[in-house]
Amino acid sequence: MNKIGAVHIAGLKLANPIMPASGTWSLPMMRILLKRHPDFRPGAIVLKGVTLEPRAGNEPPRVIETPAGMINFIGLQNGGLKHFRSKVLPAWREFGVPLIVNISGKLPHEYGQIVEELEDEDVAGYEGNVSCPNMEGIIYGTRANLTRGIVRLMRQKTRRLILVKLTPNVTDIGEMANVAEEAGADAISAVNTFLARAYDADFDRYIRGGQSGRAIKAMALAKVEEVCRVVKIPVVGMGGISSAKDAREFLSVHERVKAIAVGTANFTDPTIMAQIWQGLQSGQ
Amino acid sequence: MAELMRTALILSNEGIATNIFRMTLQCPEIASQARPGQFVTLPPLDELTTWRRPFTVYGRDSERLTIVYRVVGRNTALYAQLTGGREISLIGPLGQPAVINPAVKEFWLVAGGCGLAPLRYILQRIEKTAPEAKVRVLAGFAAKNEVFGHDDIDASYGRGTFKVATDDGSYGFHGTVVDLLSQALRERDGENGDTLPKPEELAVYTCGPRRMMAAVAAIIVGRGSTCHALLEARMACGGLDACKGCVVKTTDGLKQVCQDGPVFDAAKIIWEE
Repeated sequence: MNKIGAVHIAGLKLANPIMPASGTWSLPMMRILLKRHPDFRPGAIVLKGVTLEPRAGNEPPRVIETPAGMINFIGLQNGGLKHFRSKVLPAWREFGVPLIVNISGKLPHEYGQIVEELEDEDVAGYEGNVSCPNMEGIIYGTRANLTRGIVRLMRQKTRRLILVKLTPNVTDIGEMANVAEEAGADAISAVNTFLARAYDADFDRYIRGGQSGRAIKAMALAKVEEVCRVVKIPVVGMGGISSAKDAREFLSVHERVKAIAVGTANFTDPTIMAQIWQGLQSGQ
Repeated sequence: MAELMRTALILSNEGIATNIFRMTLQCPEIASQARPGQFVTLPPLDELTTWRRPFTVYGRDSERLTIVYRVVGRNTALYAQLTGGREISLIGPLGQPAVINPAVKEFWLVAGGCGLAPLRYILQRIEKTAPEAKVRVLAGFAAKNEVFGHDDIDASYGRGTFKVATDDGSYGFHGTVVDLLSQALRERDGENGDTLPKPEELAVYTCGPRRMMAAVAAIIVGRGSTCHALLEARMACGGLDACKGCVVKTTDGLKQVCQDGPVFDAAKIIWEE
């Protein structure tokens, strides 16, 4: 398998095919990674989701551990686009790694508006998040017409890389991928979290949110395969990757899987991406 | 930022009460940086778990750092089996240190169970920062077999009065630590005409189960004194500001325990869940 060097996703060149999944990476983690592995940088960094206006996020409890994974119900807590531009982006620029901005809109038109405002900024591309299970209302990525509209709105505003992050919580993820490709997406991120529910004994209530972690890997692989059967554009595979072996499984699904994203595994060990990279190179 | 992640050498890991263990780790880079109230994380050892486990610092010197933990689940049970000589990944110190106001005349530390762990390090710091201040440590446990801290606190801190309450009365005061606190406040009022410190002269640090801290806060904030509460929260990302999972409700909105805490002004915590 010849996927251990630099890779191209549409026009964007990545030094390696490994990136953190949105919302699972932070500046302290980046500093730990660089201190422990000075020769490694992720191929790109997908930043935590930004919305037009600040969002306080959901009330606790927001996270619960489940067998081989976790459920989150964060609710896209973030400081909004203005704060993102003034505080978040500048802090990430120092690392010299392509930055991909994960975008969520409360309303469809906000996706285009956020992209438009970020065109002045030095970012490599955008990941349209049509799949967060913790936003109010419906998940845009479960409706083909809404997904199409959102991707078109983004496409109208930029020539930069557009990734579309799909939810696995649909009958036919291939259809959604196809719609995103036709609307102008450059690549597909697959997949976001699986809807899940667990009883939280500490709070004596149920948490309903997105399941991530090793528990979803096998299901995510099947979804990635379904996407690859349909689209011609590159795919960034993700879902429970925690080792080089896992990464190789995703990259082996199809030649269109050009890169992988590591999510919850960063929480267990913030140096895991470097270890995966070493493992991919050494064939372990 | 200092080097946050290191490989630490376990020097000792011993049971100090039923299901309570004290682990000392050799890790100069993290030990020398740790401040009272801060925490470190250990990796999950159980195959089915994912999150690193946070532990507040019980004590430290320039080389070594000590945590005290209770066996509550599979990971803590596995930590309890670790023996000296083994290496383990350590991340820290994390969180905001406790602020100790040197103008305070009297510090009371009110602990529930393992909540005594961070208070012991705060106690050591009070000795340096406010050497003239009076100190009391009140700690509540379920029963005698869970009591710990005498050796470390009495030995290192002669001025402190360490009083223990047990729920079943098998050791010390019979009742909860909240009962003990109320009684101590009443007794203190009658001591040789000695009166309680003025509200602004007393500061309380409390750590333990949420309901216990809420009750302590109600008493202390109610009399107009400062009450610092050390909060616990689930941390998916191990306190590294990625997941935004460890929020607590305060009168200033949602706050992250790993970044804004773990020490909070108890008057600002919305205790009802």
